[in-house]
Amino acid sequence: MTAFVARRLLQTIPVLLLSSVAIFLLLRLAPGDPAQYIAGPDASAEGLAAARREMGLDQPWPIQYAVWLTHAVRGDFGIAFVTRYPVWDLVLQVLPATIELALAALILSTALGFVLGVVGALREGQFVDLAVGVLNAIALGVPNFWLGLILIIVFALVLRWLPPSGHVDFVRDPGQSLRYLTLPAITLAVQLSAVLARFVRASLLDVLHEDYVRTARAKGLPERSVIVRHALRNALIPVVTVMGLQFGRLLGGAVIVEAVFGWPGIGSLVITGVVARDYTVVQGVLTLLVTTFVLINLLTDLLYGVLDPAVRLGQKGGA
Amino acid sequence: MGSLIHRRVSRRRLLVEAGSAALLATALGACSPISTQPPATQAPAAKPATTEPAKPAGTAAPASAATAAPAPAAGQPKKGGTLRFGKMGDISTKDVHQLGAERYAIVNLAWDTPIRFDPNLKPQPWLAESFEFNKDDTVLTLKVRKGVKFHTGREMTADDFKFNLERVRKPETNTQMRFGSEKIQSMELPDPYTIVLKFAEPNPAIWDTLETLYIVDKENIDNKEFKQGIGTGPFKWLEWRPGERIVFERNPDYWQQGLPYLDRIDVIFNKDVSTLSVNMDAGAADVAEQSLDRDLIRLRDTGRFQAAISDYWSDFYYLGAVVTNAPTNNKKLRQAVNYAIDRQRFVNTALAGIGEAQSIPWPKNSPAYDADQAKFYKYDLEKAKQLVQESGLSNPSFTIVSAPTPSPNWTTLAEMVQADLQKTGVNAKIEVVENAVWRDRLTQRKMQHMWVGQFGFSHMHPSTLATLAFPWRVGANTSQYESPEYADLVKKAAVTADPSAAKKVYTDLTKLILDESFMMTVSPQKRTWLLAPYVKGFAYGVGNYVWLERCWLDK
Amino acid sequence: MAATLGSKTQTLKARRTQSTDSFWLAAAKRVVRQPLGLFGVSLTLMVTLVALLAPYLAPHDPFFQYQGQELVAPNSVYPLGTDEMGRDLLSRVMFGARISLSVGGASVVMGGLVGVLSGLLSGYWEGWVDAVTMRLWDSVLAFPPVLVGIAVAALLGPSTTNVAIALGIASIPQFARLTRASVLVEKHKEYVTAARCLGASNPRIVLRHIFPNTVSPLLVQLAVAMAFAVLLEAGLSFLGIGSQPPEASWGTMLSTARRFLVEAPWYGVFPGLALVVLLLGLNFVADAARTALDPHRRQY
Repeated sequence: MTAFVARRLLQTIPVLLLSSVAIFLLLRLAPGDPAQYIAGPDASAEGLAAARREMGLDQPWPIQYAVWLTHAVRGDFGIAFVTRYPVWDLVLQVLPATIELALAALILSTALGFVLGVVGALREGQFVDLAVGVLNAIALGVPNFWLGLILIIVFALVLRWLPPSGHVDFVRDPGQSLRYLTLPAITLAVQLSAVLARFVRASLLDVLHEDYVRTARAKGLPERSVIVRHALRNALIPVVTVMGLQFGRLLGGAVIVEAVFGWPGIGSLVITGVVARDYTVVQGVLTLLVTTFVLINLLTDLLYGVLDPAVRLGQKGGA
Repeated sequence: MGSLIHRRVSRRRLLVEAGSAALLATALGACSPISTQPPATQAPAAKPATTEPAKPAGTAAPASAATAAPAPAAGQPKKGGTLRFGKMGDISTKDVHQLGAERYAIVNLAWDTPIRFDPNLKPQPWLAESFEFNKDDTVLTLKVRKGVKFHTGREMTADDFKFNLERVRKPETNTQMRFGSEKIQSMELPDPYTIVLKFAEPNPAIWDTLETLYIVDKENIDNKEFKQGIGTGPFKWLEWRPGERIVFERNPDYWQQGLPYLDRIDVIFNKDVSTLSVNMDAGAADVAEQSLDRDLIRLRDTGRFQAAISDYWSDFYYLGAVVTNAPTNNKKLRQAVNYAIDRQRFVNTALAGIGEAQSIPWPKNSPAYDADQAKFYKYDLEKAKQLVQESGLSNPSFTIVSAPTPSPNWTTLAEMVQADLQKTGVNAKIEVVENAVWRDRLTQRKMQHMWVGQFGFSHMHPSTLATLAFPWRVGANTSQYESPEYADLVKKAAVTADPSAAKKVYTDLTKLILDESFMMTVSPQKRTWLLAPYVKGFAYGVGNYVWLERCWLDK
Repeated sequence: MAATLGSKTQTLKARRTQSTDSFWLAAAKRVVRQPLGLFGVSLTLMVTLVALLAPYLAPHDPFFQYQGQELVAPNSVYPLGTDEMGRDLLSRVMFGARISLSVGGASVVMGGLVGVLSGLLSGYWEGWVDAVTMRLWDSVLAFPPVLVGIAVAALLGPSTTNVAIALGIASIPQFARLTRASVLVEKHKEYVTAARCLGASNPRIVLRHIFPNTVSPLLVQLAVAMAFAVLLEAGLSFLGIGSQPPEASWGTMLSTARRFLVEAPWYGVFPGLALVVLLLGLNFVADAARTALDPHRRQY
């Protein structure tokens, strides 16, 4: 087991290095000069050179990368070109909003996904099951940014129940904050709940067909207790890992929904960085996102290893 | 009106005396045109150079705001409340001296300037309590207002004026204000509240510098911990969340007793221009700066909102053409394109009528404005076809570069022109690039054929345009257009004082611009604000900067 | 997502006695025999037909600007109304199908080819080739796909082709992983050993013997990746990266429609509905394919 963990941990290092090189090169190769952006169109040659020097852009690329990397491994992502804030400050500023949205979406979708998934599994092959299946397929087929637009039209512009976009700190005004959170959270949760419902159903069905469940039933235990005490509990484990992965995806992957609702999250931080060619922000935030995702992925794999020894032993090199 | 004409004349004199075009670099909203408002709606101009801590800004402000709210608010201003001010895009830096075009909303919240202009461009005391030129206009003595405190609590003195004038001059500060400050030969501080500026030659244009010189706290601006914008303004910079908002809170120690009225201002950055008006509509914002024009009109017409539309035209939509690359090096083709621009349709559909279909880059109240020239290129596809034929090119094709930001109208314009050009046998391909790329191509003169954009500085002196606005610059414009006539006329425009002689120069210059068609002016982009009905005392200066110290909420 | 985890427990039915042709036919039959599968295939075919026949079906020139007819509500002349330039929306939606399908198709072909090849290589030979390529695809997988699109657009400039490239890159890892996992299982089977004993060369073994047996999970992945690419293309276009005006993909139309949500809500509705139809079709096909190829897996 330790060897397995060590091997998987070691594998993440080249992944992270490769990603960071890719990010670095993409930014440098993309047209658009950050020094020009900072100094403005009327910058004098001296001003431009000074800006370049201050941003470290006068160095050759390998040195720029080495400098960045040596700082990054110590957790120092440098100062943003544009705002002159440390990248960490910027990340910490958007983190609460990002987590708020991801959590809200996760909670909503878990509740919904579980109910639909359990209902589907218990009524396997019946009409309800089929209906839930179709509903899930539709939920998966509706692009969330379009759903967001429709929700804005209906709930913000026609009914005027909820604000169309923006964000209020939860600490400052919890009530308002929840009002702003509602539409983007629902938008994200719809698709996610479909993913979860499918997973809950599949995993519950797997368990229901296992011997020990049959034994429990044969022993004459009440159906309710069979499902709750035996089946659900065991079906839960893969579901939890899926949720973990989805949460990781939500942290960085809600870019489009953030854009629809003007939500100041991590995704919009990256987009702003790309638009302004703020190398330090994009490098720092993307590296953090990638690291988070890789770690969550690793954790999931490890959990799987714990749950299913076949994974640990059978697959050389890991998949 | 007499005083207005006088102002324009003295303005020209000022330019002549300043001699070089460089001084205009400082203007940035300073030399705004005469307000087109009938005099009746203009508040009386404050007495110049008074020692009273009067309300010079306030005088200009209600006049402008009157455009928005025909029936000025009756009743006493109420204190307190938060103003939610929506605008497009974030600011780019905490350093007010480096702030670019995105600054209109915030500069006058946290910072003050030594003087402010009234609507007639007469300097009024602000942080400078009084000012006086010597007889030959080479020495300016400014008395600094006493008891003005920075947000840190430190009292502002003449030394702070000096520090700021010196700071904007440094090349690494990268500000257009440096051109004005460089004219100052020496600065003396006879006592803590007096600063004497000396010039080698008469320099009345120093007002342009002083009107945009935001006084920052020297103890905070250049150190590493510089976290906030610290000035002496009516509001303190509380917090900046890049990409989301800046929060300003009331400065209780503001030097104008009893002001400001508001407790807090949230300047909220919108990433999408449509959310500006959507937020207003849903009651999630109190002010929307530069929302889409059709949204502004639609919401104003519901009667639920006020609309303020500035008469200080500074920006114009345009199409540029590179004159050194085929096929746009063909003048006939460029003229054909100019005829194929359906300006009126653009104004009507994209701008909802808030614009002016005209082919010259001057606002109506500019001395260079000429009604006939303004309508020189009327939409005429027959003429365009004929010119394409005369050009000798068969099925010419080229690209038009556009960008999705700052305004979706850019691409709309490109698409309209493309569709019309197709009818004349010209094949235009639209290339939409990121704004960062568009900007690089513009400033590094790497455009291929044609592009869409906006230029500023139109509300200033006619010669300023060709000095400051990038696509117009003599010898360094994106079109690669160079000719002795152009350089000559621009230079003449800068130094010709006599009104009728100047008029002739302007007419010739405009004629050349129209004939060469390297820059095709389409329509002004008027600055607008959509206001909730309870927003009172909203004001803006001649440079379209927002003044909110007297703003209050009637709710 | 589900496919990744699924691949780990994948139980493969080796159909090595059957010829590939009859395999495809049988798979198709089994997909169509399910009601939802049939429904999905019909929806997808319908959109494909509309895309192919758009020049004949569209009532108007999708690029022609009817002046004075801007943002007209749906009526008999303009069944879905017009856009802000006075162009017929129905015609534009029809032509938009071409962009969605071609971007989806191109990216899947690219991702599939590169992914399968890489998967075959690294699965069969393992060793350092395997380590390097799989770490590379892990890195790609670690990026949120939307951000990959944004980065590629920043590098190459926004255009339909570049979006297809970005999506192609983003879809490589799944193909590579699936193929590799299958190869790892297959290559130890007897028929491979048999072929090797008969003196078959490595490329021949990989392509003629192993590859056909890795196809079935890939079939599902094909539909999944296609749906993913269509969705992402729309999303990226919605962010302003993608097709260039006057051409418009559904995502671009939706992005523009945001400016007219109040005045012209239909503008924001119809391109989205078209998108939903195609995505539903592809999702149903993917689900049916999954069931058809592996009836024991408990997924919809």
